[in-house]
Amino acid sequence: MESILRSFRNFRLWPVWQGIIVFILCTSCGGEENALKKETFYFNEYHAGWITLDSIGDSYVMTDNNGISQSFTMTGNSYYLNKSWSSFLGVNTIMTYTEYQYQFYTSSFGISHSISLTAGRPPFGDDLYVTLNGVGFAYDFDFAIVSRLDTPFGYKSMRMTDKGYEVPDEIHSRVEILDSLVTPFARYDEVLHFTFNDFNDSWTDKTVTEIYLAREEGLVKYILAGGIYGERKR
Amino acid sequence: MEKIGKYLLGIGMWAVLTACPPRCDLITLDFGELSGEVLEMVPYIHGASYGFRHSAGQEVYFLVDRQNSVITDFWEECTQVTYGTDHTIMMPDYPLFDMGFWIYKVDSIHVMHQATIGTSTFILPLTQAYDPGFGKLLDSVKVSGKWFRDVYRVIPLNSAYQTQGEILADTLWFNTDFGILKFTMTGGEYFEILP
Repeated sequence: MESILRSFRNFRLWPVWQGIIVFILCTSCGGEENALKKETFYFNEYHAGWITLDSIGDSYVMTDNNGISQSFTMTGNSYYLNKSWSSFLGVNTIMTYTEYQYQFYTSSFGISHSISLTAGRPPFGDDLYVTLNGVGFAYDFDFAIVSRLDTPFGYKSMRMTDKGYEVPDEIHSRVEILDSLVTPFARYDEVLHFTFNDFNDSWTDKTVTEIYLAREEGLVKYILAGGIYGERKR
Repeated sequence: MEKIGKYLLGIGMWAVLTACPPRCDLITLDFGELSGEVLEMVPYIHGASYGFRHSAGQEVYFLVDRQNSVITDFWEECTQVTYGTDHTIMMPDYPLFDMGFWIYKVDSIHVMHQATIGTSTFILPLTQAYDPGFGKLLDSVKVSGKWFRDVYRVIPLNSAYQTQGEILADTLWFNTDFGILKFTMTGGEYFEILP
């Protein structure tokens, strides 16, 4: 304490004290907004196309192979920059903004469906997370792998490290990007096709095993374990 | 010191006065159990399966889970109500919506019969005492090639909140001998009782 007071009395050290005071003022008064460094992660423009163009209240119809139809209606659509920060000794060092969008649908059969996209933070790519009737998967576009599964039968996730993913739980489910998909009702170019291939022993006939998403349109087809499939009607 | 003592006394009195709110006189209402006659108006039996055919030909069977009970509830703060209630859930053997019925006493005289098909809710005007005006009693209706007498044709309560393009049950035909005879969906598809 005495040495601090001595240095304060030393005129030659006043610029140092002034610097410290200015630094404290700058970092404390503005709260978390005044970080030393800011970075923002945005969607890759191409990946953003997997989010649909629907608005809240929009509906579409899926008809199954026995001619029974259900409608899916968008009931939620939110977009924001997700904020996170790290700090050292009370000083915010890095403020990070991550672009995020979430779209939610409910069907007239009581089924829930959602699509969300989170901008990737290197080394990871943009993260697309899709759920349909309880079966959810995350797809990393840069690594081209299913990185996590969240289902009524269990949860699997790859471990994220500085260098990429590690594999504590092997995930057998796959995603492939198809050039096109033809249904009796329409032809879709560029379709993301998810195949569920984990927890097979626990499935029932009504378990969703395949999901097809068309760019900007969303869900266009699903297949259930019992063989029933539904396709979007136009 | 005396001043502090007065303050503490004041705080103590305030705590005593505010901690115990004035007691209300509990009003107990007992609407009674549902009568057998009222329960039989929904003719589904627990554990049984009931078949329907979709307009495109698919047959779907619904397994019935029916529970009857008397529950005690509170209305506002001081009114305790005991009333009979009966829940029926019909679960399909096909990827489709559930159907269900809820019967309960709204007072000592009136009984509510409510049906749900997916997200559509229908009030069935089965008792003379309670009819909100969503249904009509028809003398006879032909369903699946067979004539049924005394059929209620009912539209749902929530049709006004439907968004364009949604496919929901929009009309229900019901009678007390066979239960659901038919229901149509907004897209034109329908389900009929299996003959």
